[in-house]
Amino acid sequence: MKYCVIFLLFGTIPAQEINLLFDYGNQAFINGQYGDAIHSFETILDRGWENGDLYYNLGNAYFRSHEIGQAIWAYNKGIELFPRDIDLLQNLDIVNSRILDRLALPEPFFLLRLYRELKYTFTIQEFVLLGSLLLFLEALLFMNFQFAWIRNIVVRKFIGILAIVAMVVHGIALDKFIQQKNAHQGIIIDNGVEAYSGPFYGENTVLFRINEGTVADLRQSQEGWVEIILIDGKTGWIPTDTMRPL
Amino acid sequence: MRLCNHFILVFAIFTPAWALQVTASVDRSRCTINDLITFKIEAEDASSFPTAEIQALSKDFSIISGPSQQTNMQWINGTMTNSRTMTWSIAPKREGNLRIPSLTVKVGRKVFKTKPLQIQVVSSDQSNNDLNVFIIAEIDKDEAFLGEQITLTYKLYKQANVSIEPFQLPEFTGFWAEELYRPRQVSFKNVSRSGVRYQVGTLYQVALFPIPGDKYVIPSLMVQSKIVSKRSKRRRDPFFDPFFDTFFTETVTKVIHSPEKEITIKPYPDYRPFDFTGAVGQFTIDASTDRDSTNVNEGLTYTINLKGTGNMGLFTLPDIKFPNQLEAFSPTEKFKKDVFRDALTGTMSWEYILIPRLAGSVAIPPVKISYFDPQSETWKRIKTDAVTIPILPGREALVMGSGFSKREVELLGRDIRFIHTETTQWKRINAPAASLWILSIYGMAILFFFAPPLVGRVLGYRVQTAADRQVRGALKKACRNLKAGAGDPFDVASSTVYEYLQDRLQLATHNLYPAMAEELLSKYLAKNELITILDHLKTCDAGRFGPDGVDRESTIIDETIILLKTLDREIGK
Repeated sequence: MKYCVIFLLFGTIPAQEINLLFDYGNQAFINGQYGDAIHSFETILDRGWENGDLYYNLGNAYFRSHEIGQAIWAYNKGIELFPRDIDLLQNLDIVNSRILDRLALPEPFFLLRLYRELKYTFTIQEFVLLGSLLLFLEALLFMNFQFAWIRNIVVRKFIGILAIVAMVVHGIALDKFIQQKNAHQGIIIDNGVEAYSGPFYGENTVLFRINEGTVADLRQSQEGWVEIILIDGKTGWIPTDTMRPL
Repeated sequence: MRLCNHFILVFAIFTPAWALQVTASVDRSRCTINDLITFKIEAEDASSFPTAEIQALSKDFSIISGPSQQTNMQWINGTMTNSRTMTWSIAPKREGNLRIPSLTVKVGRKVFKTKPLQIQVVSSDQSNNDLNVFIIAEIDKDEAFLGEQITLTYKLYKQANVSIEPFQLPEFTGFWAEELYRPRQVSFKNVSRSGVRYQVGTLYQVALFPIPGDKYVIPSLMVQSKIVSKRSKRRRDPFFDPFFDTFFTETVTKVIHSPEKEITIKPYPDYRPFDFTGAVGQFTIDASTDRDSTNVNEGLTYTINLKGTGNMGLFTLPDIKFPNQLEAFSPTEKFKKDVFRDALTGTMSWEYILIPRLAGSVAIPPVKISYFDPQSETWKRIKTDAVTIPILPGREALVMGSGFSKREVELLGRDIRFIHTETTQWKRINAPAASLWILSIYGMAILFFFAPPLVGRVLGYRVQTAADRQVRGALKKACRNLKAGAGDPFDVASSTVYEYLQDRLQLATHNLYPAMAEELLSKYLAKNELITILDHLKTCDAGRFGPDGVDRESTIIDETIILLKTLDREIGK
């Protein structure tokens, strides 16, 4: 915990170098040197820094060099950080329309859809921040009530509602957290990737062929291979380098 | 005699009719594999040369030369015999009992069948190495992948004065052959082979690329050579001086074969890329357009160049998906070969004519191609850069929008939005979800929850809570109620007293009546005071429900206030 605090204090000051790399990448993008732009943006990621704008620009650079899969990966990473960024959503929409494979699921029940929309509108940090503020307000009111500084019946009801809302918010945050911890997803970054029935070439048959940009759940991995599950339930093994984990 | 004359006449008329006969013959029925056989088809009394389907022999024999035509005319005893002969030089392809099949021969309009002939071919009594002339087929590798280049060189080794005739190239079944070197005049140089000096010359060099098939055999090259050997001296005759022998040399015609060689085809390693179209070798690819920008409906040329070494010409480009705004015409394919190389090297180029139909920027996606590198035995993928060409609106487009009517904004294409050049805050990848700020807010919330009991514990006394405040505020509240009381004064007084008691004594119930109040207050009050209170309550009730006590109506409020104050003092003790 102590290290964590130190890390939080000192870790949040990025080196000047990161900003320079970012500016360099932007300039390269403007000049049309998308390869250089990708290189400098990826270097920032390698140094361990991220930012929604960085992912957005990286996605644009990948899109311009026609690497749809990588672009989708970058935009998805960006949306994890900036879930309400209109530019990100619009670009992801455009890139998604370039995916060759069409995997569609039936429309879920509308409450579930609403819940999902709510869940994906905020980041886990925002949920936690909101939850903590609600809890803080709740505690403040509760204390006032204990000390009997406020005796309004409306306030008493409000405390009850606030408790429920705070619990719901924390529940969503927990749901998101568990989802992030458990569900590993990846984006296919190569075209015509053949999924085999086992993690080696041998006698395994090719089960299906997927193209770049498709989102797949990752189940387990073997040396150089990873087992993927597509959203329609198809399962197969693909070489690890044809996929980039989210 | 007359009869005889008649006979002759009859003969003279009829002889040509049945004297026309065709025979096939060979000069020897037993030979070695290096020998030449002369095959003749002779037609007697024919007016034209016979024609035969000589290709029927090509199963076991190779035709070295021919046909040569020969006409014989003989007068014997006044009868003329006339024969026309076609002669071929053929060489056996293998050892064993070979058969020249029955041939169909046409002479004029007549059709004949020859008899089949048997030829016994024995192995040469000398092995190749002992010969003073032989051919070696040199290959640079015994096993290859499909599409990998095998360089085959036929080399002629000779010791004696040997001249070679023009030769026919064998058929390379199972391979795609690309000629690398074929000299007009074979030049020889001296080499030493197993200690023996030879002159060696390259007859033919070819690049072979195995194509899918079932048999991969380097065929044997067959060359007819004339070996000049000195005539052996048979006679020791002063007139036939050995000096003359040098001018009269004997030539022996021999057919020399190169040994056949088998090639093993190695299978490709697994995980063959989906876009593998058969390219094997080492390649680089690039793409270019002939201009940087163009106008609508003005064509441009998009060229893909594939440079490298390998089986060029045996594979195609994967299909290119051009954007919809471009109209693409099927490409023209060119191959430029680099000469003077052992390996087939060159540049293949595909030229597409593209005509843009809409203004705006158009991007041609990268062209990717996979190939197999036989040197590292790995699959490789190369791709061109994406090419972006701005397309300016053509002249026609400008004329169109002259009307004044308002229109919807024309949506010409969808594209991603521009990058964000300003950024906010950098974040460590995998930073914990809860930052210091959030954790401190949680801490404060927990602190506030447990603040009241905690403060009491720390400071050593019970902190005022809501109940305490209620108790303390009971008298004040009651007085306020009484003073502000509206309606029946007895009613107000009565309910205020009960309410005061509830607050002051922290009672749960809302239904108080005099008997219950007496029981509660007996703990706090002396007897007479208790009676005063109860009397007062009874007076109030009486005033509420009956006509009694109307006289006290004006004073009941004040009395109640005084009473409550005493009561509060007593309970406080």
